[in-house]
Amino acid sequence: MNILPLRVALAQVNVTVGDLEGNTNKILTAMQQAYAAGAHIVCLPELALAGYPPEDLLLKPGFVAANLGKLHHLVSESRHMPELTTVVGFVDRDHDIYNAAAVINAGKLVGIYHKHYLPNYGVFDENRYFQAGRKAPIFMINDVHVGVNICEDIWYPSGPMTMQAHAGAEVILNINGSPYYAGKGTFREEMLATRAADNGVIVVYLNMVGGQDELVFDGGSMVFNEQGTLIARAKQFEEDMLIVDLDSASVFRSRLHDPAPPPGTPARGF
Amino acid sequence: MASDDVPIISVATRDYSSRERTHVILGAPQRIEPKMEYLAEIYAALVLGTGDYVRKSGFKKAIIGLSGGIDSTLTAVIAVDALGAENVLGISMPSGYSSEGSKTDAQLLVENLGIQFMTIPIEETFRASLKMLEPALGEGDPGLAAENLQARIRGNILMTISNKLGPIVLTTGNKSEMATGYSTLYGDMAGGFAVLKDVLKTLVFDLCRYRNSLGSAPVIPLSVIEKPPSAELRPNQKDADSLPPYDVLDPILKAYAEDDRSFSEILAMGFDQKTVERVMRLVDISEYKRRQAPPGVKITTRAFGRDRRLPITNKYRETL
Repeated sequence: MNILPLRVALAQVNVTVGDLEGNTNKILTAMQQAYAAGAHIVCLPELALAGYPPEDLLLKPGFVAANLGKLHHLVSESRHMPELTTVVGFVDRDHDIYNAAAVINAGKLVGIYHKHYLPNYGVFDENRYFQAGRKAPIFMINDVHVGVNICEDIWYPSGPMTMQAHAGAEVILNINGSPYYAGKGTFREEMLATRAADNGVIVVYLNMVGGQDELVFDGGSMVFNEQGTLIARAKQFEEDMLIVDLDSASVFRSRLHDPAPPPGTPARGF
Repeated sequence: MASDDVPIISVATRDYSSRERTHVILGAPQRIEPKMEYLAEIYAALVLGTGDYVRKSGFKKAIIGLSGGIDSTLTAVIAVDALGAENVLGISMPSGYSSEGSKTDAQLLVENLGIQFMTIPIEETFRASLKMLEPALGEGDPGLAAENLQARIRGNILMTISNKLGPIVLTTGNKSEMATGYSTLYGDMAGGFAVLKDVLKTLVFDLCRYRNSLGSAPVIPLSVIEKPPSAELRPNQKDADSLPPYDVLDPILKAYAEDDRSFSEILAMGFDQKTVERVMRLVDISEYKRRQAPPGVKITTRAFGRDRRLPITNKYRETL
């Protein structure tokens, strides 16, 4: 049983679409800062390597390849920070392309998550580019079960996050490129609190920050404990590194104290 | 509980217990930054969106046509907050229709902001252009064409300075204007980035009051906020001559252009039928203009940009 907190760093960075070199350096700097702060995990935003949204750059095989090259550079650099696990958004290629999160540790690409829900409304066009993922892996990081997913995945009560929570995840890392509109912050906060409480998991919500053409990413990354209480929030509209210590043991305790079956579980006794 | 869909992958990490940690009460609130208020948040979004667009596109400086009106004033203040006063250049381009009050207001704003400023009167060029065009336009009052000509001379001046000296032209039109087409193509719409494109006029007023509430002294001259809006393109012109009052117009625009409410739903909100009909028509017929406008910061659920994909050639009109 883990009694030490899991220290998670939320690197709320301002990346630039297409600036693979600059974004990679920014990500590396964030990894080093998180490492120096004693974090077990550092999260970086959705498609942080490529910048979000990369739009039709995604139709250029050279761009996808260059983004993968940079990912391998990050993986190689991670050997200097062996106790740190990095979760970072990139464009994965496997016959087709995916909006993906890489899980990197000690010089290895430990796992890859592919986004399930591809938004295609409002300003979003993700079906134009990406295939949808189907798996929802859980990573054991310092004895804590951690589920990784991306942005839209957490907006659906029956999405991969619920699969991960039901399979034993105590912490969910949800990385985002979520554009601002007036009032969205409150909407997000209520949704995330509900998701955390309903599934009895700690939710780490990381957003990017910065302007990209007409979009503004507002940051305001947040962490909710398994009871749905906000326990940390980063600055809005500014780069920030939010470091939070998570009590994963409390998730198990809460589940013992509130033995309500998770949503979607068939009723017993019939 | 691992399954095909939920595999469990172990990440080897070393024991951290030997590393020094600050004492924390587990599960207790840690750093919680305060959440911004409504207007503060929108203002911050405009500043970040404008600043990042300018910087990430490789510009350092911005140039803005300052009329002394509320839109160009707010645009300039946002530009200064985003880029620094040393990177913003204001140009006043008065014509014979520009009021003394507007010229004074522009001057006062420039002093408050501490930006570089230049006055380039357009009267002479305006007269020469009308004369040059006489054979084509014929006798009689050129009317709206003459109004737009002034805006186009100004757009030309800003683009030429941008061309030579390199600053990006920030356009100053607001969402109410963009929605109704109360703007001039290749005139006040000419430029690189439209800061207030998603900000309805009533919100422009609110944001000015909000910005004035920061700091010790108001940066926006009060007369800018208090005088009735005017394009000053003909004698004694007021926006209210061409458009319904903004406190009527803006809710109709939100209902129609943002929320896709029907004619009867908008009427049920308590607006006059003729007004609603006219506003909807103005929105419908100016799609071609909006598509040629520069991008601007999205602050609503439905901005004029990636969010809204109406056909430009379109015969459909809402009926009761």
